[in-house]
Amino acid sequence: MIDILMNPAMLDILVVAILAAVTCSIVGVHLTLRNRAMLGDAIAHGVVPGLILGFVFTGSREVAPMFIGAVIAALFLSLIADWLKERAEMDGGAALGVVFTTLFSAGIILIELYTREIDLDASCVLHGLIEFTHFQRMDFFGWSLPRSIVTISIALLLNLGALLLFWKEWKVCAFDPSLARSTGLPVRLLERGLLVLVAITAVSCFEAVGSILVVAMIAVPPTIAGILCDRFGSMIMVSALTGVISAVAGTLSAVYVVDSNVPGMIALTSGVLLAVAVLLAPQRGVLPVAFRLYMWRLRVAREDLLAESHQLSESDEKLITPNLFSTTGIAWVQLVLIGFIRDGKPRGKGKRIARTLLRKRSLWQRFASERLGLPSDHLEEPAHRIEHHLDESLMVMLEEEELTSKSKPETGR
Amino acid sequence: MQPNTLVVLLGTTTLGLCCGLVGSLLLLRKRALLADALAHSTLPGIVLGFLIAGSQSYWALGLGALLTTLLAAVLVSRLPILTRIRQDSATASILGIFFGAGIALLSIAQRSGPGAFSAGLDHFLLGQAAGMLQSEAITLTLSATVVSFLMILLHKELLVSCFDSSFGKGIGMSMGRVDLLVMLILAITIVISLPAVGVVLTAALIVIPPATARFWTDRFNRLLTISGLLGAVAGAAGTLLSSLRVDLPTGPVIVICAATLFSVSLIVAPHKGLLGKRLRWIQRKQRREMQRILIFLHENLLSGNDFVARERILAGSLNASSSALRLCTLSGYTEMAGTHIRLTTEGIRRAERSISARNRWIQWLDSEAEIDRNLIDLDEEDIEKLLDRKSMEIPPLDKGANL
Repeated sequence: MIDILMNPAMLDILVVAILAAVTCSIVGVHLTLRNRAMLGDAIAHGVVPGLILGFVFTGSREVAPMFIGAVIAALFLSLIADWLKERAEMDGGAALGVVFTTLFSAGIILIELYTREIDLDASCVLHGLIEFTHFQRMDFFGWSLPRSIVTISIALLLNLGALLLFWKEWKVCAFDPSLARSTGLPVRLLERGLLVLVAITAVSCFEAVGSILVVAMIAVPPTIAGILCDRFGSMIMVSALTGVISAVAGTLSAVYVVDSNVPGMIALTSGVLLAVAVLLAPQRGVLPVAFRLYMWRLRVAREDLLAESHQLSESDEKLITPNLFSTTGIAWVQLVLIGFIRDGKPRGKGKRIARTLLRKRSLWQRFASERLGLPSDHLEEPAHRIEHHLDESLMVMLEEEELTSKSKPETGR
Repeated sequence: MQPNTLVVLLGTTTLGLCCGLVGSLLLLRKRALLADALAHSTLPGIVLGFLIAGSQSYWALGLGALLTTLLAAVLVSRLPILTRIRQDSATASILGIFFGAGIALLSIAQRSGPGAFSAGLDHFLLGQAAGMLQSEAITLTLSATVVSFLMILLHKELLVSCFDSSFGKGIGMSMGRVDLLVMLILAITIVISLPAVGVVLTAALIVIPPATARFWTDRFNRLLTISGLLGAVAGAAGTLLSSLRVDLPTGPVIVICAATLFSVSLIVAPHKGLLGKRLRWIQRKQRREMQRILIFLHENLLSGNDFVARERILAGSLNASSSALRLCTLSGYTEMAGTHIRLTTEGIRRAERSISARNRWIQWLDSEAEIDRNLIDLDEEDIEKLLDRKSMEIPPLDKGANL
């Protein structure tokens, strides 16, 4: 680890990757909340004509004109897509798709026509030049710093500043645009401002880290954060953190483990993190949800078994051992192990549980037939289902209900 | 024309047809951008196919691409169901992850794979339609025929799955299977068009023609037909145009042709086009204006003024536009007598008609629709107070309602 931090070239790559990931994942949260995550991909493709025109007009390979051209192209793209969506009543995704693919094609044709002799090809934009970060330096108030670190830092500071300044406003716009409009916020202006921010962020990261990384970092960390968090603030924190983790892990694995492309490995790492989050997120992950569901089913099976054996034991019969490879079987094994059932008959606390359950069942049946007026042949099944969900307070309520209806039998008629 | 251009022409035309057909299914499901995500997710499959087969054979790369594309399609459609992920986020995430994985694999293959992986990223991203082989063109044509045939055969199921899948389930269609079939058709279409037009432009060919066709029709079968035709036209026109100059890449020119068709439709399509909407709005406005003039003249007629000065109509409380007045005269409702204007017999009939229609409407609003009397009798000032100027300027969306 130490030798990684001592190697200046490696350190620069790591810093650029982390900065880019954090910048993109913060902007990405806003886009994700507005269900516009594909905008990152659209901008990645749509800026190509802007880059080329910036180059063609000034004839230089300076950064500034190409940067401005790209930002203008990105803004043009998102505004036209919005306009098509509103005015031509198109589906938002289709509008975006039409615009960015057209712009991209126009960009490719421009490349072929004007910049044949220059090595400005699409793969350069896509790969990015993150591996050469250390060698493209610039003077920054006397310090010699890698150029991409400076540009991305500026984008990050801009992002953070705008985020803190318009925290509340953007939050309202994301979650409840009509509320925002009714409280007099300039919603349209705020959304446009956000688009400007996205454009600046994306373009400043393209040159340094390539568009794949931007597309992945705008989409994936906020998605992970969306699975894990319920609050705007924590979502931004988690998103940035996920971005940092995937940047570090991706860079290190690309350099030291598999010898591969850095942005690609970062995107892949974030994909692994997404898979982990989808599977294991405590609240909404697939496995925890399935586990909770299965636990619930086991509880229901246990209670059913106890009730059944209780009924059987009253007529001096024994519960037949169920098939052990089913949910009921596992529930039976549990009951036997903790001693609630012995010799097919409920014992001790098991008996109490069975009695409570049967009491709940009969209470519900009576309630359903008297209050809800269900026909008698429809009582068994719903009662059997609902008995597991009646908690103490509901049971007390039903009992009181029954007492009052018993004490005053005439008034009910 | 070179003989190879003919081959390319055949290939791109059928390709456009195929993409247009498949794309309309995606458009109707509001999943147009899925095409882009799936096109990107072919990259890891292509590289894996190369790494496993050890050669750049068409079938190995194609099969690999097909498998990862299907995996991506399944993930995009399942992730929003499995946990709290929005549709758009799922699409964008899968795109980023798969493409990133593809780039990572590609650089592994280039650095340490079996032999050099000569097909650069450019080739994969942009395709090389001009270098299309005869065998590729034949494959394209065959696949396009199969896809079109399948879609004609299953058009009823596809229609139901696009608009009301719960109804489909209700009448016993297997919607899951239909969805899978759509994904499969989409994946095959993307994979066969990659060598010709590349990743992004495949997405373009799948997205743009249906979006264009949507301006011209509201019916499913017509949408499919128009979209397929537009795709084919764009493919053919793009190929011919790009063969005019050596340095024009075919794929992007095809997309620009499709985009041109889109812009033209956006403007001139009769029902949904911008021009049509604007014209209808102007027409309605003009008709309202004429109605106001006629009613005003009729009121004057009833109070004994046959002739009304032109200035009183254009200025004063009525403040009508002179073009509406000219239109009244042209359609024979009014006639000029020097600086004065009076209603013709036809004009009187028309004015009476509109007055009685307005009265009936107010009556209906009052009785049947049970709207507050105070809201019906609003005059302009009240209305302007209620609605600001801007919201009054919104053009009407429905087509020309009568008086």
